[in-house]
Amino acid sequence: MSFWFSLREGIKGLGRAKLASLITISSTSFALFLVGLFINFSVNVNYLIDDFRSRIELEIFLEADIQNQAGIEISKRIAALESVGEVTFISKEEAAKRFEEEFGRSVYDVLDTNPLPSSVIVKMKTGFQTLEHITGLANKIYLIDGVSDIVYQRNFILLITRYINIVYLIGISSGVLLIFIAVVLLYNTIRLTILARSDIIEIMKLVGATKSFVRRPFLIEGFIQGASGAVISGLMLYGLMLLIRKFFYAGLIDSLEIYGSLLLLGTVIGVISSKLSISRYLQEI
Amino acid sequence: MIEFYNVYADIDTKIILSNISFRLVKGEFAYIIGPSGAGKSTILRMIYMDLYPKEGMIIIDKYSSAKIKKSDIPYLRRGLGVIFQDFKLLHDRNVFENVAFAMRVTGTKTPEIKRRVFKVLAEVNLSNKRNHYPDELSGGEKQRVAIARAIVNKPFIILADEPTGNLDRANSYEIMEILERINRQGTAILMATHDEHLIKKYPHRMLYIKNGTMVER
Repeated sequence: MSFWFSLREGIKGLGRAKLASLITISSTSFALFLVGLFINFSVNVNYLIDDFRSRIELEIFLEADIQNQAGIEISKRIAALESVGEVTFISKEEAAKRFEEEFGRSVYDVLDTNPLPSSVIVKMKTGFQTLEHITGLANKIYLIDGVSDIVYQRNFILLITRYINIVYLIGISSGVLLIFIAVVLLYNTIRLTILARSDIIEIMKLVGATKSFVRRPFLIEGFIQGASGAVISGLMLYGLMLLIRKFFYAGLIDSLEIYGSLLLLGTVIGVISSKLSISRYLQEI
Repeated sequence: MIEFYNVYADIDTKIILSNISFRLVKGEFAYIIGPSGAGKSTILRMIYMDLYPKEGMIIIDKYSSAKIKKSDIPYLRRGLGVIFQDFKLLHDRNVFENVAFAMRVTGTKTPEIKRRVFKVLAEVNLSNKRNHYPDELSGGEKQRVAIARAIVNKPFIILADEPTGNLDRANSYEIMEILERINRQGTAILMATHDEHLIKKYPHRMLYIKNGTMVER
């Protein structure tokens, strides 16, 4: 009974303070649109970083006299190491074939013999694609008999590591800041809707409504305002993503989870802001 | 039922009431009289625990100002009916809903709400106006809605803060007649007023407040 009364009051409340509700929903939409944009940006940057990381590999050159069988054995020893993901053994013949594919001439036409050593290409396991792990792995591989040299793009990895940290730092601080702004914005606009209805709160208290009873319709209102703001911001974001994909970058990732997160965030922020506003108001009067 | 023991009250550090003691028993009708700003409304606010005494103690029914928890105040207020000079009606709800509101917040079921609201609207002669909105009513009718809302939860006392302050003579008499009738049915009335004419026409016990102290007349 009292739940349905609160629900009805919450829904009616939106209509009773139309302007304040409109301002609240607009502010929520704007704030969540920014949050959505940030989430989308983060997801795409993460995807690009993962893509770059998946390309990190070590090329391990074996000594010239190592035969294929011994090379395969070395590959197996490398594959057994903790941080190693995918391992590919390239025999001397395979190396010559790749040379021909790349340069258009056979190595035998140029030098009479095949000086290309056999090698092992190593890709790191996910979670081990950092410079620290790669250097550690290289040091272990150097100790294996038959290994003559290890080549990896140290500067490229250094660059990625440095920028990942900066991107994460900017991402996390922007996210926290945006969510904080959204809460402050909503808190203040919801206070407007509460102030616009101070008469009903005063009467509720006079006739013996408990604080939780007074709070409930406002929490429901906050929930509806947050959800409405989230839906509107989701539509705006979806439209923007369509435009970016069409005119700027077709590879942009957009997922249902982003919109789901916005809806969840909108409703949670709506309810929390309402709770803070109404609790503060009830303490003041 | 209502007892004030050596009560002192201040608002924003200004002393409003000094050493007030009185007792109001079940079914009694009493006026609190005195000039504007004397502290009449302060006494009423202290009864519905919107203000606490700075010193002294107030006992309302089974609650004491010294021991009451904030969470108990709504339950204390359910036993009181309060009416004001400015009616305090909700302008976006009709008469029926304004009165029913007081029962809805206590979680009463709809059939019981309907039964009680129809009954109290008949008691204040507003049955035919139940679908009207406050802005469509006269001052006297608005105050009758406020009285209906105050009595719908069967309080043991009505606290009336200058209930005729915004009304003409005829409407004031009508409100007083209703309050008299409610009092005859066993509900106590404590009414703040400075209308000497009404006090003479409807004589009851008088608690006179001047310069923050109370004398019984």
